[in-house]
Amino acid sequence: MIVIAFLKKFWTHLMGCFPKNRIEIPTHIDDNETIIRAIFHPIFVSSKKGLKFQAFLPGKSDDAEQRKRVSVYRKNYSTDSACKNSAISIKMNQQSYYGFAAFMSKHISNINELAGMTVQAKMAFTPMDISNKYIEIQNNKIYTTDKGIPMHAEIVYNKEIELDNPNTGHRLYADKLIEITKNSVYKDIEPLLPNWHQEEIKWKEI
Amino acid sequence: MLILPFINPNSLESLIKPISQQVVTIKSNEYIEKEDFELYSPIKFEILSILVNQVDKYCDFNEDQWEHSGYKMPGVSTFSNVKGFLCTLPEKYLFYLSPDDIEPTPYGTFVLEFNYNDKVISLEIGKDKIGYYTKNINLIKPQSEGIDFDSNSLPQEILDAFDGMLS
Repeated sequence: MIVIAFLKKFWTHLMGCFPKNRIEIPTHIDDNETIIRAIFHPIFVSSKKGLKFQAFLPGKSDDAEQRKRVSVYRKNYSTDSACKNSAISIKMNQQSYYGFAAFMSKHISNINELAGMTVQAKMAFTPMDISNKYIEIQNNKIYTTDKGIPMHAEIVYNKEIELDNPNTGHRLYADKLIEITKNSVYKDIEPLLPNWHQEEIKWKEI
Repeated sequence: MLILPFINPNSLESLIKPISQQVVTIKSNEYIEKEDFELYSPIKFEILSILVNQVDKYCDFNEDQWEHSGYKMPGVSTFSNVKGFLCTLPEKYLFYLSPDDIEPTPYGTFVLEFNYNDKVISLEIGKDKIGYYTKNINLIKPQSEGIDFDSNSLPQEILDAFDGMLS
């Protein structure tokens, strides 16, 4: 019994270290795909108030195009462990990896249709290589086992964040995503260790 | 490792200190000149000084500290606008803003979130504009991308939003 339990645990651990079997990742992101966003503390989350709107807004890049884009993972074409291992490799000054927030791809189009939204967004498949450079997807097939971040995608806003002045539309959009992910924020209890050992990351109904 | 500058800068502690221990650092002469502050109760001065002190804490960080925290350093005019806004806003609204709800954004602005029951006004102040959105407040204009702003007078639609919050 002990041997069987050990082998089962070892197998689970082994499977957690590797992405799912080699599957081609479609360029189109289906409405029902689970999308997960890596959360860093303290910039994206506070212990008192939970997720902040910054969690779903682009960073402060000098590149206007980058100020439209928010990195996420396509969970259906990866594993929780692979996403975590990618997230903990991200080095942000004075920020530490906290966990993940999950939503469905369709939530992006749902928010676009809400009254009062002055900013729109879409999901885009943007796989990255081992050097965090975008991989051209026009003539390439991308597989779940490719090196780098093959499951990388982005929320792409139709307007870039403006520096030094208000971005009400973007904040309102991010606020809607916070509402949607209210029950789907996963704090990693072992943030310094590789691999995900907690409940499966998925979007939970509000 | 540097200390993270944007987490709970002792604001709760400052709230429970006796008034006499508060260091008032209001720098807006305009406020003093424009209003006879003796007409205000001490509590007004107290809450205002707590909120302005919260903003001043962020003034103490240099550009490198902002940069290292992943934030763009707000400009002088942004700091001035935030403090000017707090000094100009009618006193009855200041009590619905917790010091913890004054926060810089990564792109050089400040967000101030006022809460009253389930009603929310989320204001964002930048170098020359103020934007806002509201929740659960019945308004003709529940949000604005950005209104030209100088802290000597508040845009009417923002005052309407505050009226709506308390009604």
